[in-house]
Amino acid sequence: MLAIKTEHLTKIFKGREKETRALEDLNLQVSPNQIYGFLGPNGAGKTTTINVLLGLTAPTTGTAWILEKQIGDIEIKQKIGFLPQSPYFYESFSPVELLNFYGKIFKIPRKERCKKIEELLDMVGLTDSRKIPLRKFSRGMLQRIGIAQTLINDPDLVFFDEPIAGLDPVGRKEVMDTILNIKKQGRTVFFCSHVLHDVEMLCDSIGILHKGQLIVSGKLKDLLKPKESLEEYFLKSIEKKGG
Amino acid sequence: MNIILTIAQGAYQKVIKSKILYVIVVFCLLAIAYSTLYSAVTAGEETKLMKDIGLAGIAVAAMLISIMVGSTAIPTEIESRTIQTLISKPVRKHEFILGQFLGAVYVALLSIAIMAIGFIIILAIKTHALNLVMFRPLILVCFEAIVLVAVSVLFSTFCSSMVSSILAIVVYIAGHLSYQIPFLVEKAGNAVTKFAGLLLYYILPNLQYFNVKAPAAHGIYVPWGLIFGVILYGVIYAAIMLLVSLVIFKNKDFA
Repeated sequence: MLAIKTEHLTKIFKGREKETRALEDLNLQVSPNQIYGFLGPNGAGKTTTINVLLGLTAPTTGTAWILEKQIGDIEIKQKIGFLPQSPYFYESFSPVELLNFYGKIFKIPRKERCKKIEELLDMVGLTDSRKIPLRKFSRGMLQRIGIAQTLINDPDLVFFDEPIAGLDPVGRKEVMDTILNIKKQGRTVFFCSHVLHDVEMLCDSIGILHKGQLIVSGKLKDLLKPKESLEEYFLKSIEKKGG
Repeated sequence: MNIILTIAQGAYQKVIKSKILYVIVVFCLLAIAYSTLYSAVTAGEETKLMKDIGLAGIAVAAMLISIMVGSTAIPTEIESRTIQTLISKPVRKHEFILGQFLGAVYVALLSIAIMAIGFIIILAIKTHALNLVMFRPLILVCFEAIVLVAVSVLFSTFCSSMVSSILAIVVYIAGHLSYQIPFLVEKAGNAVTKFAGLLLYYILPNLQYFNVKAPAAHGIYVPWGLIFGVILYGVIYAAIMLLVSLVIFKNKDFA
């Protein structure tokens, strides 16, 4: 079983004067129970890929499957979690209110929901800030409550879009530890990032997207030569494609 | 249904902490209370004047609140990108729209209820009698608010919150004048003008149906049959507006 599979996925954004090909014939396969790093320079199409997979935007051509179900099937969403890039939540909500809101969306029974909320707040270290409105949260705290909301439904597959961008070293370490913890729980993590050093530490497999095309995909240990860093490999791959 | 109600609750919780809402409600109540001071210059007419000012004040405040909450509900979700997280969960687009609509309606009706209770209390203090008959025009104010929320939600599916608010205010004004269109059409010689006029007449909500404030303030009996007829008209009009909103929103991208 594959966690994610795309077939000839293409997304074209049509502007008034020109069209932008954000994704070009993307064929991607992600195995379950691993952390998959989806890399690429700015504008490569990473976020567009996630948006198409989550049904936030429709593909122009091609299709995709998540956990063996074709995108568009609302049932898939019961089994996935998503942390968008720079997550925004209702600012007047407290962490408890936010998690309760999303828990209700998943129709989790009240008793189970309350227990789950306590567990998640503990996991992301926000138990003491449980009643503080989110507008008073730092970026790192928002990222942590964002991670907590992705797990409210016990998902099999979690999408993180730039989860460590803009965080200080302590915040980054906390988020990375949480992501590793999520993998230990047997979930699949699909993870977009620019921070290659952190990706190298976290990911089992990677895919490199360049100008909407997948130019590399595979297990990190198979792709990197001894003593070669991911950054060197990434730059080499992009240059080879004329980037 | 559960998901729609959860989204409605979220929308309500998001708006209810807005200060502007309280400013409008308090300002309206102060205006009603202030009208009691006019008794000195309008001897014998003070109760009628109070009723006039009270009902008109509540109607204007209800219009402002309905348009404000209806126009901002969806654009704020899109602009702040909270919609991305929500739509990534098992939420269908029609559930999102209906939830936002119900949340906005709840806020509008709650505000009207607070103003109405304040109005009835102030009136009771002044007249030493409970004027429960005043609830009849207020029921129609509630349904006018529902129509305005639906119209605002429709505009907000393809416009920013500011543009939606302006368009909804234009519809409010035009909706109160639209009953005059058939008379104007009769005088128009051009067939195209006649057709355009009648088209506008049928598209715009006839908000004058909801306006029974003047007869009520003057003690004229407003029959329940009329009230129920207008309620039915309001519900059907709001349902059509929501249906159009759903069609527009169905193919919307949130990338």
